[in-house]
Amino acid sequence: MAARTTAAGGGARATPVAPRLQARWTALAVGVLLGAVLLAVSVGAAGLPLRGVVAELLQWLPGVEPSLAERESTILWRIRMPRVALGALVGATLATSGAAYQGVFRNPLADPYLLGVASGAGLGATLTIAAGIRPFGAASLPLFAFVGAVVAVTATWTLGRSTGGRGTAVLILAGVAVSLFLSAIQTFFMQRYAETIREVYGFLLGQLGTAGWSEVRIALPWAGVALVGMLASRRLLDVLAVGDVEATALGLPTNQVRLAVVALATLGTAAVVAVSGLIGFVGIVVPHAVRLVVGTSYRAVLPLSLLLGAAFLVLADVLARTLLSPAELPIGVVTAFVGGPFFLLVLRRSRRTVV
Amino acid sequence: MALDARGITVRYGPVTIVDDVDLAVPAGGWLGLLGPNGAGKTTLLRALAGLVERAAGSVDLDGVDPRTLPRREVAHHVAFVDQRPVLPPGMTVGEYVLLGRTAHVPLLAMERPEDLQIVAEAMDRLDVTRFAERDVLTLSGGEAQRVVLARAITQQAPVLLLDEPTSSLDLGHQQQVLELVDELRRERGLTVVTTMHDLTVVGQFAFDLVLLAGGRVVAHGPPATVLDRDVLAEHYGASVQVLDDGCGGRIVVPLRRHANLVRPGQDAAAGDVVADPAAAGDVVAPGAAPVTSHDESAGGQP
Repeated sequence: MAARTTAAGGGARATPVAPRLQARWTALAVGVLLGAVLLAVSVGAAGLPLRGVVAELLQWLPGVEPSLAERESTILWRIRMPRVALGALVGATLATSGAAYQGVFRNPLADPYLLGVASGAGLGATLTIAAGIRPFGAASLPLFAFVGAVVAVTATWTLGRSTGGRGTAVLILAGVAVSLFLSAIQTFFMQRYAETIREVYGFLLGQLGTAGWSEVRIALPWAGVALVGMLASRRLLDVLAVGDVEATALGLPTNQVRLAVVALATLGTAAVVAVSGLIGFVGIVVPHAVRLVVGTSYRAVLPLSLLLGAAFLVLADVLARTLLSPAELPIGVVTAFVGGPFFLLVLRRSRRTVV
Repeated sequence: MALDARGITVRYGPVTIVDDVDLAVPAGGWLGLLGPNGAGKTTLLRALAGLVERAAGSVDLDGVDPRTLPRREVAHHVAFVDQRPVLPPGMTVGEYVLLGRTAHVPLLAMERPEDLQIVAEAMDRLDVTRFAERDVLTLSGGEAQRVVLARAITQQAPVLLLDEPTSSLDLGHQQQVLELVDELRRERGLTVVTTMHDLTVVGQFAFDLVLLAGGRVVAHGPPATVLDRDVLAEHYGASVQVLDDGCGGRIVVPLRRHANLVRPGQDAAAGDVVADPAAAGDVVAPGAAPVTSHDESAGGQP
């Protein structure tokens, strides 16, 4: 025992234990995102010169002269940039929300659609398209999808609580029930209005093709609040990792924290799903790939999921619109098709434990 | 900080797990909670930490009932370590110990330099600094227990509740961990309550013992009183010999009911049941007659 008691006064110096997001990983993730953005705005049916694109983007700096022609500049700012910005926003939100859900539910398979966001948004979109109810013009589809998602998750939460159970398993089961129920209604309407099925599928498989700045403006406030809130909670998710009993003993109001984080993640997810449709896989693959590299602390997992989720979806969108050019693949197909093998590769190369 | 609990009752539905338990621990004291499996030790400990709802009773920490405080405030008074603490895979030892500062850091803020300093000191004190970067899952049982204790003391709570702190440890590590807890108790004036299965060991560290059976207190007092052959026989359903260690402590030795080992091929009747193997007396002085009466070559048991 003596050996253990001398440490304080002995040779071992007090080493500050700084739980930090290592700067090199952050720098790398920022670099990957910037590279993805530059590639995405340059590549397309009309190729833009990289040097010209960089000069155009940095023209606010003194001494940088824009060199793109007017037509090229229009393509960049009106077509490419909103699409890339929306892809980045959607990817960042889905990946961060996925990581947050996994932390809150302590379940590696939790994804942002767990509590019914997908089926709620899907039903909202289907009703809008099938019934042709568009009181707000082009904004109707995202609006109804958003409302559907929020209503679905609220129903899940209410049902989960009404059983008297406080555990997360009850909530997840309620999510399954609500999802199945709403999907059944959605299928019914898709059958009834078969002529609109193609447009409905377009939404269900995810789409950035129609993206303009208006979609970015619709989603950004909600997604922005959600992202800031989730990032601010990253330390608390680490505390939840030790389980409810000990987290409570450590002084964490676990139920309130769980409710707040789920609400934020759901809000962000609903907002981006409303403008991009259901893009699967991002919320699971990106956080897990990040964990395999930097460990499981949410202090690192959340910010890196945000950056790399954005990069992942921007790159997936490049593939979606170039692989079968001039036709476009649904981006949800690309994320699954590319994300699956990529994830297996990362899994094989890593010896770390997943979650 | 003195801990005074009165009439603690905990029910899960219609089942009463802890039934009208009174206990008191003076500041700087160490109380051991004993009892057979299912006696309600863990639930009682959790009730003291405010982690389960009490159906009745009060807990008083220097005049404050933790139930009236928000969770963060309770954690300033009471640190609790679960029987099998969850060690999240992929979390480093440093990150894990830092969790002890949860109640001291504003909810949405990050740790301040003084928090990191407290963590560093606790890790040095428990000699785990050299593991700081290691994954918590790579720790041995003894190392993990020291890391968990480091987490508990960074909480800087005057009351330390430990549920079976030595259950997964070998003899040497059991001693090391308990001596460490005792040193911390003396250094920091901690009030300690532990549940324990090893009766001899708990008697060496705790000033007072509370023996629970069926959720009720069935014996209470210093080890010399509670560690009694008849009391233990009655409530554990065990056959034991209680020896005096010569320093006022008690050594509790379980005894086989069968006097002789029945070897393979041997007639089962050879293993006679001894009605009361400890009938020689309640307390035997050290160096007295051999404790067990069965075959000396018991080590060869298949």
